[in-house]
Amino acid sequence: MTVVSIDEARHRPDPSRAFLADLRRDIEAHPGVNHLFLARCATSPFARQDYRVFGENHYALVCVFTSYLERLLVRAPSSDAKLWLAKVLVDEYGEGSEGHDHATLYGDFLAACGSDLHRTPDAKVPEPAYRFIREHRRIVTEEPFLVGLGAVGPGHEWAIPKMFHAVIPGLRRAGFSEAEIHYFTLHVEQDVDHGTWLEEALAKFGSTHEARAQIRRGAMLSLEARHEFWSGVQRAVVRWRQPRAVRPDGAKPRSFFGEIALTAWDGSPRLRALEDRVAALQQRRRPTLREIIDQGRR
Amino acid sequence: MRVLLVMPTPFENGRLGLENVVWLSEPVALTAVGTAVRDRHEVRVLDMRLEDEDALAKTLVEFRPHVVGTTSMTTDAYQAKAVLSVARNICPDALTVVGGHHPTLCPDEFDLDYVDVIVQGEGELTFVELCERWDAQREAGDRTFAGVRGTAYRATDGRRCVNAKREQTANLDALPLPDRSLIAKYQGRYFFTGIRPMASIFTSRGCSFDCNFCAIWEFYERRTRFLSASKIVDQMEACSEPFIFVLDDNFLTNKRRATELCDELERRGVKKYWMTQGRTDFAADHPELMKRLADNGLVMVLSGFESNSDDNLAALRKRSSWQKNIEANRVMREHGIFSTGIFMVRADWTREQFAGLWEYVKSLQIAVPLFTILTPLPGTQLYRTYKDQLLTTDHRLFDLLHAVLPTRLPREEFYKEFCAGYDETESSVRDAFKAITKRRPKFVAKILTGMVWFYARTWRYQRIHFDHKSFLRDEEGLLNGPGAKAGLTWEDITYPTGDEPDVEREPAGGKLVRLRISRRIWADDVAERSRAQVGT
Ligand code: B12
Ligand code: SF4
Repeated sequence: MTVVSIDEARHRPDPSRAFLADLRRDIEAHPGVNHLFLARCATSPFARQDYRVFGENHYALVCVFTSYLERLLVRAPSSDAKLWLAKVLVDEYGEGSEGHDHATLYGDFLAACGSDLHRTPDAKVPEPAYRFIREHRRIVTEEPFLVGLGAVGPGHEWAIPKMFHAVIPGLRRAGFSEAEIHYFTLHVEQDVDHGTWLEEALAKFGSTHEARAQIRRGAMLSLEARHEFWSGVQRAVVRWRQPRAVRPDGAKPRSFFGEIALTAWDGSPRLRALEDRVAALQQRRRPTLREIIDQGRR
Repeated sequence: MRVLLVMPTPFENGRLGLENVVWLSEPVALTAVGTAVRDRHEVRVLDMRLEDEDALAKTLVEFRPHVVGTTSMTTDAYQAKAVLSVARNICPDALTVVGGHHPTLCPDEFDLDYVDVIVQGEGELTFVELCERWDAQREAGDRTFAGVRGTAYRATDGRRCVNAKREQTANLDALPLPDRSLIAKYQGRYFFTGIRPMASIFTSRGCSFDCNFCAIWEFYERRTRFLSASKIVDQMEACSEPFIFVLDDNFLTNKRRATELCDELERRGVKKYWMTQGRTDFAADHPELMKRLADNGLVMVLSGFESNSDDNLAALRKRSSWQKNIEANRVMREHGIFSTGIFMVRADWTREQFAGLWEYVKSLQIAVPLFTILTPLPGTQLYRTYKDQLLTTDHRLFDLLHAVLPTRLPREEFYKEFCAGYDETESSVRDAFKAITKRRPKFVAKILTGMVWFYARTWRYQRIHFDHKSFLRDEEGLLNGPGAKAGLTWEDITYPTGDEPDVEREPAGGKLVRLRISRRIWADDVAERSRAQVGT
């Protein structure tokens, strides 16, 4: 007698649909999507000033998102994939938001936070955003097409509504008007549509075990980068409130000697100056907002 | 059933704070309620103060709990909510439960769609019953808990229902002692200053005094209950750590019990170094007993010295005096007990008042002075008096380090004065350490490496804590938000004298137990003092 596991049975009728259901569940439960920082936005009365730091760290991601799609569009192996990518691109360029592209919408939010980063294209891209963008550029250019699709497709479209769902109540609590946070509310609505279109496209692609594995890998790579990104944004918010926190690393366990050595290092003005110089150098090597957008177009 | 109990971080990871440098206590509330259900269910405790940010989501995915519980005092209420909202996202079928001081005293704040049950008051028996009920009902997804005393829950139709109060366990010995193996993975990482590795236990619950800034007596309904000496020593013996923090709010309150504890420790030959919290008047009035406690391992007492003025003490209903503080400090130093004193400044203080406090602390030669700002914490009499005169309702600023009432000095000046406290009183600390080292060389030798470790960590904290701008940055954009009263000045605030009747409060149910120290005695004290002052 052949024993069929429940899992197997569930997968038999339409393995790609079952795969997508599992993938969606895993994405929605991922630490990147459920980062405590996002839950804190929902529950703590962060001020506009905190959201300014949030926004300034997030903005670059918004500016370059379409470049991932454009790259994938060029590499798309079939018209189905192209169709989905094109539909999303049209939205990102301004459909549903009175012709304003998403970067422009985000600019309105930044202005409401008291930031003029959107008018300062020569500002350096903050470290967390830079790492996130670099990883995604790598995924959409170097990894197989389906890995890229997994990252910008489910890795974004199924994750974003859930993440913004946590952020929006915090923004409202901080006193932003609906117009000021339109970027966020729009994404909760739009990405549900994008997610549904995407599901159709992915169902066609996820026909083989290998294809499914590639889509999953892409989504997970994106979410890991996302987790790191939110941790970085949170660090920036904490750092902004507590600029004198030499090493904002919480109750991190260290050996006795590790602790002493670190304090000795931090206590030495020369070594701190050295560290600052290295940080300045790293910052100089990071592109500006204008450069990173141009890189995306190239 | 699988039960996950989560200790929230009090602040976003990376922000230096009390838990990182001064006192990281075991999550005893969670080990206590976890132990109560562990014979029937699989229990895990996750201490987010010692975990990476992604540990919660990962554990929820991997452990798939049926119940997720968390605890909260006022300052970490938002963090506790964040824990439960993540739990609801990842494990929508799990029951979400919150307990502790803040949910008990301010349950309305947890009236949220992702919080299923609020456990009010003592948690062990309530949690046992709640888990049993949920185990039976969860297949049907029935989240109604009518009749489970000590809980408020959300009915299926979304209504919030409040059950009758649960009576406190009369005999603490009847409760299972918290099983510390639940936090075995974190062993060695809890500390008080340089004293580590440290275990945490409790030996009593409640306090029979009624200070108007403190919620303990309200939480425990003016009753104090004690563990027997043998149960205490059982716990101490079971700790492999050389140092133990006894978390009681007022350990120094019952002479007979303290004597019995000494007898039991001596009879069983248990040698541990331990620390606790207690009142200065007791220490001052019982020097012999303090000596005996010191001989039996008591090395540190954390006490609310609060003030250098009897008027202020009376205003706080502290029912003690500054002379008792001086005497207690002397007794403790003499017996080699580190005295950690908490002092409170008030938002309406002038420079002279700050200077007066620093002088007093210096003259005390107290080992560890801790400076706080008088804060109307939710659930206290002070809160009921000032709840409409607050500059902010942001709970993160109720950490006793931020002025939530208007200051008389400009805020920047106020924090400058406040930050100066540790520098101003450094000599007191040095002198006290010298004196105690002479009396307790063995103990001091044992904590020496810990102390070096502590100073290494605090150095990084001090950069924040000694800079008044950090306090201003902390509150930037958070004052005068929703719930705050606009246009308030310090002159609008009338501080209590201690003589006023309690602001009416709806009793939590059940009758209040009479105060052990009646108000009359306190009034007599005041009369006596004024007689002494005029030389009668
Ligand atoms: C250890 C301790 C700390 C530790 C760690 C806190 C912790 N949560 O472990 C440290 C030193 C960090 C700390 C800091 C502070 N603390 Co403190 N702390 C305590 C202390 C002394 C013991 C806590 C404890 O473990 N108790 C033993 C357990 C068994 O009791 P319990 O917590 O009440 O738990 C029972 C029930 O509440 C319930 N329960 C609790 N949680 C849950 C969860 C579930 C799921 C269930 C079912 C039941 C349940 O069941 C438990 C068993 O019966 C308490 C006083 C006290 N007696 O509780 C003050 C206390 C909690 N702290 C208090 C305060 C004010 C502070 C500070 C704000 C001020 C200060 N400077 O001390 C800071 C805040 C720091 C910050 N980060 O912002 C107040 C809180 C008042 C309030 N309105 O919330 C208390 C009550 C002291 C007081 N005198 O008022 N504190
Ligand atoms: S003596 Fe201590 S524990 Fe008791 S009510 Fe006063 S402050 Fe609270």
